[in-house]
Amino acid sequence: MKFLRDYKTFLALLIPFLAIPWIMLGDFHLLLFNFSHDRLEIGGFAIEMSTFAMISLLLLLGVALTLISALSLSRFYCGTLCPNTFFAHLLNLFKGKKTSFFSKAAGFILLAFLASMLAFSLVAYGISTDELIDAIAHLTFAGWLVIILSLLMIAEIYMVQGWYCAYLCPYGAITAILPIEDRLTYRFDDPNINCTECEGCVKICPIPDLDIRHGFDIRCIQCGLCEEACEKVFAKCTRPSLIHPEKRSILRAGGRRSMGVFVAIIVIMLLTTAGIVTLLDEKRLESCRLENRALY
Amino acid sequence: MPKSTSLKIHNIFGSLVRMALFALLMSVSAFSAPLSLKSTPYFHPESSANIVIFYTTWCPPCKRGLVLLDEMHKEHPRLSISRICVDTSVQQKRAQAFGILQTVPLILIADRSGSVIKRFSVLPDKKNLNDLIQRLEEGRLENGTLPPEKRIDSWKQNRKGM
Repeated sequence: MKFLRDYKTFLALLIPFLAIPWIMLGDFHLLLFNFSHDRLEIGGFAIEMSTFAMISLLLLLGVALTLISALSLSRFYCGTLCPNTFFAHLLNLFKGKKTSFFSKAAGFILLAFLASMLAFSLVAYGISTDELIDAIAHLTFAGWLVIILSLLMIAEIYMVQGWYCAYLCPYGAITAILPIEDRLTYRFDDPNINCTECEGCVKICPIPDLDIRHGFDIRCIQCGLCEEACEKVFAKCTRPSLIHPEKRSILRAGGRRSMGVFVAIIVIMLLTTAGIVTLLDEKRLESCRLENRALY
Repeated sequence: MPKSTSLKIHNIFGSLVRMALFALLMSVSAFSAPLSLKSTPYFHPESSANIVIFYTTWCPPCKRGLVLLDEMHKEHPRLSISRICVDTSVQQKRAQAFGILQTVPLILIADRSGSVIKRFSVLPDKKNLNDLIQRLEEGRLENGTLPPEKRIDSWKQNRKGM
C-alpha cells in the first residue's frame, strides 16, 4: 500500500495510458494513429493521413514532448514518471538475501505482466486493439512488435537498467547537454558525521560508479533508491537518515526559472503547431483508401 | 473481428511448401506478360500516349489528379485520356484487373503500342509526368533511350570505313 501511495503520480499517468487505446467514441477511437487504415483518430473524429505523414507527426510530437519535458521537468521525469524507475523500485520489493525463490519468481511474473501490458498499450496507439489481439494471435508484424518490445523491456530491467539511463537513453542525453543549473536532486547531508560507511547507497545505485556522497552528478536519475537504502540502515537507530530529496515545486525541477527556458518552450510549441498544421493539410494526401470513404 | 491488413510472416515462412509456392508465384509474376490496354476500350492507336485514371468523386487527390491530367491534355493535345469512375463496388471489382485494390487514384500510362509502361498508385509530380509524356511523344522509351531498332550502332559504323 505504501508503495502504491509513493507512486501515485506514476499510476495516475499509467492508468489513462493503458486505458486510452480501448476507448471508442462512436465509430472511432479517443486517440489512435491508425496505421493499418491510414487515418488519425482523435476524440471520435478521423482524418485520412498517409503513412509517411503519420510517422512524421509521431516523430515531431515525440521530439517536442521530449524537449519540453527536458526543459521543464528535467530529471524529475526519470525519477517519477519513467517506467524504468518504477520497475526498479518494484523489483526492490522482491529482492534481498532473505527472499525466497517463490517471491522472486512472483516478482518476475508481475514485472513481465506489467512490461507486456505497457508494450501492448504502446503498440495499441498505432493499431486498434482488436486488430492488435488478432495480430498477436496470428503473429503478424504488430504482434511481433509487442513480443519483442516486452522482451526488450524485461531484459532491460534485469540486465542493463542504470547503464541504459546513463549512456543510452536519448532523454538522458538531452537533459545532460542542456545548460541548466541547479536541478532538483537528492542530497547527502551529514553535518554530524553519522555516516556508517555501509556503502548501501553506492551499492544500490543503478548508475555505474555513482557516489551520492560526493555531491551532484549529472547522471543521477533521481530514482531515490539510495534514500530507501539509507532509511533502511538508519531505521534501527534513532538518528535521521542522511539522504533526502530537495523540497521544491515540480515546475522548478529543471532549475531556476529563467527567461531563456521559457522562451525556448514557447518556440518549440509554436514550431510543433506549425508542423502539425502542415502535416494535416489535405494537399499532402497523395492517395485515398477506398474504405475511408465515410470520412469525406 | 476485422482482419489485420499487414503482411503475415507465417504466411510466407510457414512451411517449405508455402515457401516454394511463394517463390513460384513471385517468379511467375516477374516473367508474366506486362499489362496491356490493347484489347480494352481505353486504347487509341492514333494518339501519342494512352493515359487511364481510375478515380472516385469523393477523394481529394483524385480531384487534383483529374485537374493535373486536364492540364497535361492542354499541353499535349495528341494524348488520349480515359477517366474511369470507381465509386461503386461493381466498378471497383471491374477495375481490379488494372490494379485497383485498396487505394485511389490509379494512373496507368501506356505507349503507342498499348502496353502499360508506368503505373502511379499515388498522385505523380507534375514535372515527372510531363517529362515522361514528352519522351513518349518523341518516340523514346520510358527511361529516355531510343527503341533498339532506332539506335545507331557506332561499332558497326566504324567498321564500314575500314
